[in-house]
Amino acid sequence: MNITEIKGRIASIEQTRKITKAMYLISSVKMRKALSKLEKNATYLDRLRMTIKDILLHSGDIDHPFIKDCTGNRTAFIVIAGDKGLAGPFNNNVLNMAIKHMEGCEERFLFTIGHMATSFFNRKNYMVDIEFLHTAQNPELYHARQISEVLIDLFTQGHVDRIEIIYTHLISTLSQEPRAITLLPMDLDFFVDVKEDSNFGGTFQYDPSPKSVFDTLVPQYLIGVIYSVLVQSYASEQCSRMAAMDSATQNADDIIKDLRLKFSRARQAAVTNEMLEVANATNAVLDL
Amino acid sequence: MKAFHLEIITPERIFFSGEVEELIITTPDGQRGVLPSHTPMIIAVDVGEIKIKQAEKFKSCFSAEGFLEIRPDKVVLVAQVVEWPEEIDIRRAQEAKRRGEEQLRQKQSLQEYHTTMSSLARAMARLKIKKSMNID
Repeated sequence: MNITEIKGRIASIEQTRKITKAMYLISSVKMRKALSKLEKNATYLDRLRMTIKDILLHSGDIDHPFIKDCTGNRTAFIVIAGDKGLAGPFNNNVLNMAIKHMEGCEERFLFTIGHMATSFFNRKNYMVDIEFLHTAQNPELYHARQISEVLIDLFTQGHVDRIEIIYTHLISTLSQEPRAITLLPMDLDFFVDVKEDSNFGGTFQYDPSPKSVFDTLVPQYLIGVIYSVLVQSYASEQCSRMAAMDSATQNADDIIKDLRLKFSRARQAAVTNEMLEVANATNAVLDL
Repeated sequence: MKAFHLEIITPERIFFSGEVEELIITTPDGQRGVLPSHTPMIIAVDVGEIKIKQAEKFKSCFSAEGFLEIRPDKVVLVAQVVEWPEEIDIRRAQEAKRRGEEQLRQKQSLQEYHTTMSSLARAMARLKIKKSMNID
């Protein structure tokens, strides 16, 4: 490589570094916002799940479509990924997990959240039934409400027997993990991880009736879960992008350092060469 | 005066946590009061006003759909949105009401109709609480 080539490469890598640095800063701000949302939502979700577990434990047999046994195997999958790439392994991890998870399910419906999910499944020739737009970025309660309305409609009209959601769970800012949870029908098994908050042994009364309470409670639960899953996924995306962009910036720094060294060497070699030439020429003239 | 522990939780924040003497909520069948030592019960909560009595004084706030869990040790209200009257954005509520009324005049699917009706109910309840605050 000659000097001008190296100069050009250094300039172009510096440009890229500027971009990755900017993306890093943006996603770190977005991540902080998402994490504060997540924190506030975590208490709500914990309480909600605790309450539902409490109700399921203390109410004996409630006959309600939302808690019936799974009879058919028509499953609706909701897959949440990001709207954009350049987030390290974030999109790939959750999408590959989704493909693995959906294997062996004959009759399935596929709902996607995020452009990356939609284009991924289109590429793999999966039929995407519904794409929820504008939800992957900055999730709001309003989006969760819309999604849960669609899901409840499908479920109560008997089009699906089971609804599962696949998203990325944020373990810490440094590690995220794709997970699948079952939304409907509700079963005590899905609440094993919820700690019981009291040891009171009585049963609850329902007003006006168990059915009507569950009619309002379950949509609430779904909205709560969907919202928190959206927030989780969004926070994971930002964390993942932040880490990816940080390492990209560092890589760029390394390469630039390397190239600077090469550039100095090449310049030095060129100068030495020229000096040699001059000296040789002088010698030749003196010899004459 | 006897009191009980009340928690009000929404997806976006913990709205309230503390000892109260009485709680009045709006249910699909009308208003309903909860006093200390109430029997364990789960009640569906409708869009409307909720009132919290602390130190002999009632404070009212807006609540969207949710449910109330009365346990022997405490009472938990879980709702989509709960707002103090001063947090209610009156212009936004008025706009939501106008939009809802406009949508009702148009042809809608059943699902759209339900969405419109519930957002209209939220807007009306917000406006009502705001209005009653201004008179006091």
